[in-house]
Amino acid sequence: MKSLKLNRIIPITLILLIGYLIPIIPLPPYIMHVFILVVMWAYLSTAWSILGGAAGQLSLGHAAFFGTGAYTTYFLTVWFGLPPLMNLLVSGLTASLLSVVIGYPCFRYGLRGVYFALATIAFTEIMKDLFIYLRELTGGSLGVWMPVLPEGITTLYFLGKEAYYYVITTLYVVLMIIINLMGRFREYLTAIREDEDVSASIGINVTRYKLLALMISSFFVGVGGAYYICYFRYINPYVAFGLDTSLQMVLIGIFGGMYSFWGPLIGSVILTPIGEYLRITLGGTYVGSHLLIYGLLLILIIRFLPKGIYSILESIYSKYLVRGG
Amino acid sequence: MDVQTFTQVCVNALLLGGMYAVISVGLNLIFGVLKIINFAHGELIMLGMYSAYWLTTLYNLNPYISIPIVAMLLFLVGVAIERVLIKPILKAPEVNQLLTTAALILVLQNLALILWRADYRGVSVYVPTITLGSLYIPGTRLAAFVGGLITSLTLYYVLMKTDVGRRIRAVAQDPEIASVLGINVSVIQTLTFGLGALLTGIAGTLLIPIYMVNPMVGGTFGLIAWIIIVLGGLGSFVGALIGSFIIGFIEAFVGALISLEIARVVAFMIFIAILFIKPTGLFGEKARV
Amino acid sequence: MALLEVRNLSKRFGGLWALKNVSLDINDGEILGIIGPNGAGKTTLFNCITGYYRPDSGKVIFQSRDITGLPPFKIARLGIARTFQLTKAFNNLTVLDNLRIAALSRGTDLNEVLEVIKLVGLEGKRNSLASSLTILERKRLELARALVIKPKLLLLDEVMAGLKPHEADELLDVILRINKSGVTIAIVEHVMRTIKKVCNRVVVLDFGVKIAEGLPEEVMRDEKVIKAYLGEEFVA
Repeated sequence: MKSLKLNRIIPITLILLIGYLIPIIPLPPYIMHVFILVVMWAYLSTAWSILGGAAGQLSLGHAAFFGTGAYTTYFLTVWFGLPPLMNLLVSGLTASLLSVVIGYPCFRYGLRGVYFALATIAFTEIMKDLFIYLRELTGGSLGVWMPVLPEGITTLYFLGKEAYYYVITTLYVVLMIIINLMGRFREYLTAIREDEDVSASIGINVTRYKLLALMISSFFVGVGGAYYICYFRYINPYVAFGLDTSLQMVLIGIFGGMYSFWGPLIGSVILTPIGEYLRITLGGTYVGSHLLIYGLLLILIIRFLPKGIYSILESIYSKYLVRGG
Repeated sequence: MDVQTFTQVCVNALLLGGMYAVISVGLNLIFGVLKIINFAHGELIMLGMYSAYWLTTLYNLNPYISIPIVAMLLFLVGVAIERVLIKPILKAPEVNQLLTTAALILVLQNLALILWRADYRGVSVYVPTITLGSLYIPGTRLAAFVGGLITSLTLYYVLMKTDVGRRIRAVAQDPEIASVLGINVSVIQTLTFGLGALLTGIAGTLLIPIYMVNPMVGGTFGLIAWIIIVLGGLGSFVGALIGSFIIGFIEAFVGALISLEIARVVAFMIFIAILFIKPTGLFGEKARV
Repeated sequence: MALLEVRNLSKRFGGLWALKNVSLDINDGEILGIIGPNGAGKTTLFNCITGYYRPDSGKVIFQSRDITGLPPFKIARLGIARTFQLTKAFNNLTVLDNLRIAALSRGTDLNEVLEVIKLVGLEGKRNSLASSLTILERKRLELARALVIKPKLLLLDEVMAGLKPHEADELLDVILRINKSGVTIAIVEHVMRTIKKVCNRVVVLDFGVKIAEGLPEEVMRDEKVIKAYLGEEFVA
């Protein structure tokens, strides 16, 4: 993953420009909604791929952090009257702390591969069951609704969708900036993903870096969950902690290409609109058809293009650039 | 807890354990031979339950009579899945295998959702409840327990005493040597997956009189099956049996003492704890990845 | 004070003692050979020293510091590098990237990395993927990676395995060059030829116990050693 510094700035600026300028075109609310979803899933999946792609630790339970973020924001807003904008941060931190609870024992005891994946699934199931069980606190399986608040950036309540779009796009940009700043960290994660024993033999503290990757990943996913409830205004344990949610983060990353941080964006740009289209056209009579297609696409991608769509772009890209070194 | 309640809970635990054994035995077989992690195991059970449901509802069959038919159906499904999905990725990195079977979950769940909608469906069969003094043994659960026992014993017999069974065990031990000995490893792999699916078909049929089915039930059954075989040790037949009863006892007692929902949470927490202490499980031989 | 001291090291697996009360020194600057029949405990010894196993009793002291039971990454940071019996590398990365990451970890600069690549003889393969290398090249890469983290002590675990005699000779040259540049080396080996050619001293293990120690020629005439390798009948 050698960075092609100057050659990257142009496409990046272009993408940013397009990203931020989209709302200037007057678009029907439904299209705006799709754009929001595209960026949101790109964001969530990118955050997931810090652990799942860069570090190679396949977590199938990231919904645990998503749901934690959402509910934390709900509690802070409704019980303590704290402004949702601030709650985004606290939600992220809460999710991050929670990740240590499952992450530290897992990494300390060297759980990898299937065992780690199973542990993450079980952990998220526990969260789901707990939130359903503690119904006085959490509203149980019926879920919770965010109250109507005065419009504004601090309350993260807007009547128009454009503002919500700007918020999620900004979150995504912040995430990408932070990822780009973590150059050395990413190299260590790559090493760990490739071979943990070799990494240890060259002095890399594997447990520590895995844990850091998890904490950072879960922080951002937690913030994502907080955003989710601010935008959708409703959540229940099945969405918050569902396997579907976890798998969608994974799927989009894998489809787009998880060894690059642009992969999830590509994946979301392609898959999310397809999913939404299917949901609208077939959803009434055929609920769940978009997930079915997702599942089939994932199977195909893994079989025929395991490195994701990004790998196609990469081979085109490298044909037109002189490799250094 | 008085003696009466205690005994009842023990009975519940045994019955539960037996049912769980049926659920998990197919998974172990598949892992033992193909060395592949099938996350979609629960969804196969769900298909088995639906098959039994439809046969019962459409043709007025007693579900227990439909067992052979469902078994055959699921066998064919298993064979199809193995040939189309699994065989191509048997040599792929583990991550890819995990993801493929995870994707299969999405495919099967939503296929069921599209075909049969989200409503819960159940089957009511008249199986008398046995009462021994103050002990209350629901007939359907006893039937599942007995059915599970018969299935496990039959499987054991097949694996140990028949020619096919021997070949399966050979491939499980060492595919290379097996192939040198003239065993068609590829066919055995397909057959085993089909067999594993067949077992889920039987499990589903035994379960439908007890639990309602809807496209999402696979998740819970699948996770329980996984917990059991990891607990018992991946690939260990005896381990899975013992694991089933351990989980059955935990759920029954926690369920009685606290609540049913917490019972599941406790079982999961114990599962995670076991993963840390001894990921190879009680009787497992495979070293940690 | 020796560079590395192993004192009364014992390690068991279940009922079997892989190492029993083994003590030895590795002196600064030398090339020490560790030999013994299969199952003698040689790799176990390495794994105990480098932190992959925790010994049941005994101590490992490196530069006067007790390093017993420290995790592998800490030991690497303290200056002990190792190679693996079955060569391991970051397969999807190029040779250069493999080494750059090691350098990152240690703070070695790019020039030094390039020097190391020259020392082990991999200049032509700098941009090749690790997965495309031949066995000999993979072993060179292992050595390079160990060197990049600037160790004081390098442990080589059966590094000659799988090489043809002329390839082994080439690798031996690299090892000698490494030693000359100031790195102490301990090498676990089967092949007598290697030992004779390169080691200053030899330690012999059998069934987890040290049975002989000394100059290569002495050790190879030692009755106990001959018996261990070839059985009773061959003791002249």
